[in-house]
Amino acid sequence: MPQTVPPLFALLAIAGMIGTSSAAGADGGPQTPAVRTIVDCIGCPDMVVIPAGTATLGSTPEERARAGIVPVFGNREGPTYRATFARPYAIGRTEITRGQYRAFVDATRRPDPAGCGVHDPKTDTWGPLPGYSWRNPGFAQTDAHPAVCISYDDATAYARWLSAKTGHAYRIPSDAEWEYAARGGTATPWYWGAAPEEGCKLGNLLSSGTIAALGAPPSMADRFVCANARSFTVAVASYPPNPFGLYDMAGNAFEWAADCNSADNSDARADGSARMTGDCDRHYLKGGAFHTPFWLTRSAVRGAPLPADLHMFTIGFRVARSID
Amino acid sequence: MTLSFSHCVLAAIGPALLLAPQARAADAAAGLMPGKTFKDCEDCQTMVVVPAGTFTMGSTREEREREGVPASFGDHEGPTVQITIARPFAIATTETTRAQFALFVKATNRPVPTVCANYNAEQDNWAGKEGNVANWQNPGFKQGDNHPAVCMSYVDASDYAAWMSKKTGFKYHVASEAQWEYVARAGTKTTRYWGENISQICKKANIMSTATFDAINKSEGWMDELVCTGTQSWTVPVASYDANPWGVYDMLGNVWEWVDDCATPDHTGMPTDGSARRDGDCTRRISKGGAFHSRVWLARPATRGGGQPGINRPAAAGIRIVREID
Repeated sequence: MPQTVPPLFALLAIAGMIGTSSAAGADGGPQTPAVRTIVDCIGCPDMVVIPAGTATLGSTPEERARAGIVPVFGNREGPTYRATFARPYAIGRTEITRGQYRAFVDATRRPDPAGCGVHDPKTDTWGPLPGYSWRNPGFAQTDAHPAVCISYDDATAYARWLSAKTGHAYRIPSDAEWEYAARGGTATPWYWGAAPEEGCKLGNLLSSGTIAALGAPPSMADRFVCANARSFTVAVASYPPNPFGLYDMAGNAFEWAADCNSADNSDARADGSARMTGDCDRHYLKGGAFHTPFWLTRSAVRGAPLPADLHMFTIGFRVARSID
Repeated sequence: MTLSFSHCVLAAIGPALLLAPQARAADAAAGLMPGKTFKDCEDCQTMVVVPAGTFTMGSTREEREREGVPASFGDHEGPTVQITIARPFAIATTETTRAQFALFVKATNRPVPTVCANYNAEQDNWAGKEGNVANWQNPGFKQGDNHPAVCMSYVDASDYAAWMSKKTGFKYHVASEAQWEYVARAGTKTTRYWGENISQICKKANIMSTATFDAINKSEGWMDELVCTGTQSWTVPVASYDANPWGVYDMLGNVWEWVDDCATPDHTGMPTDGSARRDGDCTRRISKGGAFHSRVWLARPATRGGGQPGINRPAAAGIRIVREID
């Protein structure tokens, strides 16, 4: 069952303070390691400090074969590479919520997009349709749900606004920063291990409720889903956190990586920074969403290249921040 | 079965030479080479000949971790053991269908049972309902004549095989666990016969689907399990999915299949010649393969139900027979 672990803690902390918390396991079991958080203002995203370190990122051909990933996606995840994060950095404890995004739109008078990609049951396609936006992605949300129908341009604009507002360097996480944080020290396909089964209790992954809500599209026949009634996004932090204390790194909403698109990981940076050269008209997503095949929710996944102004009802973001 | 002198000698020499040239020649003369299908009578089940060979039975800890098999289940699957099947044998290409089982019932005046452990919606379990008449003719869900016979006990399965033997003059049995797993693996070394692509199972076997989940009223017991999107709630006609490389259908999914072995906690002390275990608790028997309501990790060749009384009639239990080739 979804549980509510209080990210509220952060809101109670004095703005700008660095706090420490540790959350008890859902069953009163072992405590998760202490999580250091930063909140730069009232209403600012709750940021988790990720320790410096080195990790192997990307996926092996064995992992991809097992996941049944189609080569056009899978080859993008290889080869594996080592990334060393010389300094700690902070990453959003949750996806940016609709409430947080609304504050940005209100403050900057940012116009709504012309439309947003949603599922059209008549054609079983996912094209953009007018009238949809983060305000109305085609399904019910509250302000605690992740903001969706967010383009790369929207996400970077939000980070710039937050930087100007707080005086700290907010940005979209690099692919490597995102994945290092998602792995939380693990090397398995998901932070919980190699078995997709467990994901149904640990994240908002594709479910029977989604399939029913989308009208059982033929394109989604004969694939894995979780048996439950959830249809679309859920409130952020409805599920347990990963080992670094982050929520919804697998599923719920897709999240933008800062990197420019590239063919695969052979041009990954050893320092974990984003590739900001090459095919910079296009970027890609991490983490999977409520509607994706299971294999798309693995830590290593690099989504398909997408234009920076694309809006989809499954796409949101989280921010990162350097620690100065 | 009586072994010829030459068999005994060859057995002593070693597995590589076990299939004696004379025996192979005899099988060839009878036309029963591996891959050959046959029926021993007009309305008998289609059987396929599988080759002699060696395989590794059971699962490794790595496989079980990868698949998320709980220890309470998975510990039954080890340790792995090398099994050598010295002679080809034949196995039914499909689970025994309702129509086939009906012939046996009719021919033997077998009474129709009154109890089947089917889904109990009130209690959200598969223990059946007190006072509810259920059996293979009416298991509580819709079936056609070409669906697998369900609500089968081990006793039903072995009586059916004995009747087949009497009817045809050949030696039919319930498959031993080793024979069953050998055929389910069909010469492959991967977790499932098609390889390690786990999501392929939704196209390859009738396991728990969104339709099953709906049909059992979104049972709490199945909540947040990984299932396949699909429109089939219960059993499907046998051979609805592709055959495995040896031409055998539905070894994974559709219905659990009783095997001949007496229940043991795990594979320690397993005979290595492919025969059924007789050293365990023979009031209890093992079943294999998973069924229409099984979780993904249950539908693996290595999976073995923990064993249950051979007189039990689970709603999802059916029959797979084998035949000796003389």
